[in-house]
Amino acid sequence: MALTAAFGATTGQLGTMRVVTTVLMYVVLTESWTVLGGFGGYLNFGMVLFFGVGAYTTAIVSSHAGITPLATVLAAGGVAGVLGVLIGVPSLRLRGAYFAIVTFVLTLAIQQLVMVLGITNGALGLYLKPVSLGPRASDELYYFIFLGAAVVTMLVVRRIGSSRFGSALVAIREDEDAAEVLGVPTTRVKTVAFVFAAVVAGMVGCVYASQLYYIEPVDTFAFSLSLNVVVAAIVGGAQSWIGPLLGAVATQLISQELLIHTQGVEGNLVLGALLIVFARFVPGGIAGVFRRRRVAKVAV
Amino acid sequence: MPRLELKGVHKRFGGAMVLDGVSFSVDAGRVLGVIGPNGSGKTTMINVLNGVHRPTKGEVLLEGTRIDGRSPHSLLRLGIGRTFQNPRVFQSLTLLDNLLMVTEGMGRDGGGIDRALGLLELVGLAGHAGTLASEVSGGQKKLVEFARALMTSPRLVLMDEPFAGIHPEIKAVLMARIRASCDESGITYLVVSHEVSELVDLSDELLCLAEGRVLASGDPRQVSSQPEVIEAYLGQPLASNPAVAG
Ligand SMILES: Nc1ncnc2c1ncn2[C@@H]1O[C@H](COP(=O)(O)OP(=O)(O)O)[C@@H](O)[C@H]1O
Ligand SMILES: [Mg+2]
Repeated sequence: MALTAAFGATTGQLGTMRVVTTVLMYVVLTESWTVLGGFGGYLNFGMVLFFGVGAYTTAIVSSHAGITPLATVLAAGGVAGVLGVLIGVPSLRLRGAYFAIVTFVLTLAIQQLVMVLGITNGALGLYLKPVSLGPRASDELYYFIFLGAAVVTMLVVRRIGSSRFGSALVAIREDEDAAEVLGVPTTRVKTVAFVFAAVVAGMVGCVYASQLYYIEPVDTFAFSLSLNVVVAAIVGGAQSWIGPLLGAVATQLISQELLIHTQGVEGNLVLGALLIVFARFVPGGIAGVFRRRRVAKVAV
Repeated sequence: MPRLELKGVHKRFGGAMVLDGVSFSVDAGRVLGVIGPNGSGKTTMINVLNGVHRPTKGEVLLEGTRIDGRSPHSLLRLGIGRTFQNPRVFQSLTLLDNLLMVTEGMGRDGGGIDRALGLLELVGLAGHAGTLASEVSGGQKKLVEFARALMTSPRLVLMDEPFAGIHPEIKAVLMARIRASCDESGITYLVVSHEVSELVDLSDELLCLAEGRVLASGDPRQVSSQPEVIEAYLGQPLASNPAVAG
């Protein structure tokens, strides 16, 4: 983390700083995903749904209210959060795989909706007012926003990991019936964790829209974002706050490096291969290798 | 007022009436043993009592308050704990963390940990507090489930086949602890088991379920020697009938 951050700040090259900013964005998304996905074991394949809704909320609200896009961050998080409740309450009553499918299908549905609605300007997309800074200063601004967001999200997720709420999620992952019998209001706990990720993704979408100052449905709702988050969490290890950090850095550096030198297809292939290898042979991810030793120490 | 009372409880799955008008009551600090052939509805009854299933008809009262239809987590808060026929421990957690997982006592403060360690000590597992649950034996898992149920500060504990397939030594520990917590803390137990002779020793009252109905209930020795009860177990003496052990 410190390494990546220092890398971005000191090398001073615009290209490098943008790469690191994207890595940091994925750290934020993956950390927030991990609460339900890693602690609770419910795979959310819909991160881009909330990310996109946050981005569009920012575009629409900032242009209607005549304010700078970044000022709409709470609105973006709020709308994404409300959508999270609407999706989470019914779908989290379903167990396991159904939930993953619902989040995937709804991503496609909302993307289609954004394509045809007037307020989103259909496939043409929306323009936003860019921040009035030079390119260099603007890149630094977004770099520091995502750096700060990454630190805050990591601290929050670390805190959740050692809280009653975090334990309740682990109980759900291990045995949901037993968790319910032990007093865990399982549907409510899962929904709160889901909405947390939705709010964070919505806020990230706001910053993304502001940074790009043009959004349209295909890229803004690209399923690859959801997939990248899931892969990062599984590669890094989704059972503690440290895994998403390691996984997001590792997978993003790999895919961005490949993106520069190739057309991007290889990037997806490598990520796919990583996913299979880690899911099959390294169930705790990179962090799990260290964690196993710690468990024995902590418990006594 | 009885601690637990069932009034004409029915539970239907599709066309099958699995509980067909079950009524009984049990007081505080008593052990009620429940026997009955396979498929007679014993597990279903436990599932109804702790809110996994909603009864099709009838009432369940805990100290006079209707509780049927409530969710398992809200019933835990009212003091109903349970164990499962196949132990449901959290495999990737230590025994200590399995107990700390319980919401009511889950504070990671000293109090919660001391209480959890005390309960592990009670069932003879203090030395394994840091062991992963996946690494202990099936019988020890049953002890963990029992300690975990006590961690919830229950008024009523429902135990589904706690003695099935466990080492005689562990069985003895479990029986002694059930009896002691009943006598000392006034906890009520409903213990389902195939092992009739153990249940006769342990229970204050015995109830025999057959095809979803209460066939007999009352004094354990009397119930276990009634002809209809023996008949329900394929007409052979209970304790020595191999068909009963499955
Ligand atoms: N969830 C369920 N859905 C449908 N049938 C069930 C369900 N649970 C139990 N049953 C049926 O109810 C009957 C009684 O089962 P159970 O309560 O497990 O008996 P016991 O514990 O006495 O062996 C069985 O015929 C079983 O197949
Ligand atoms: Mg059963």
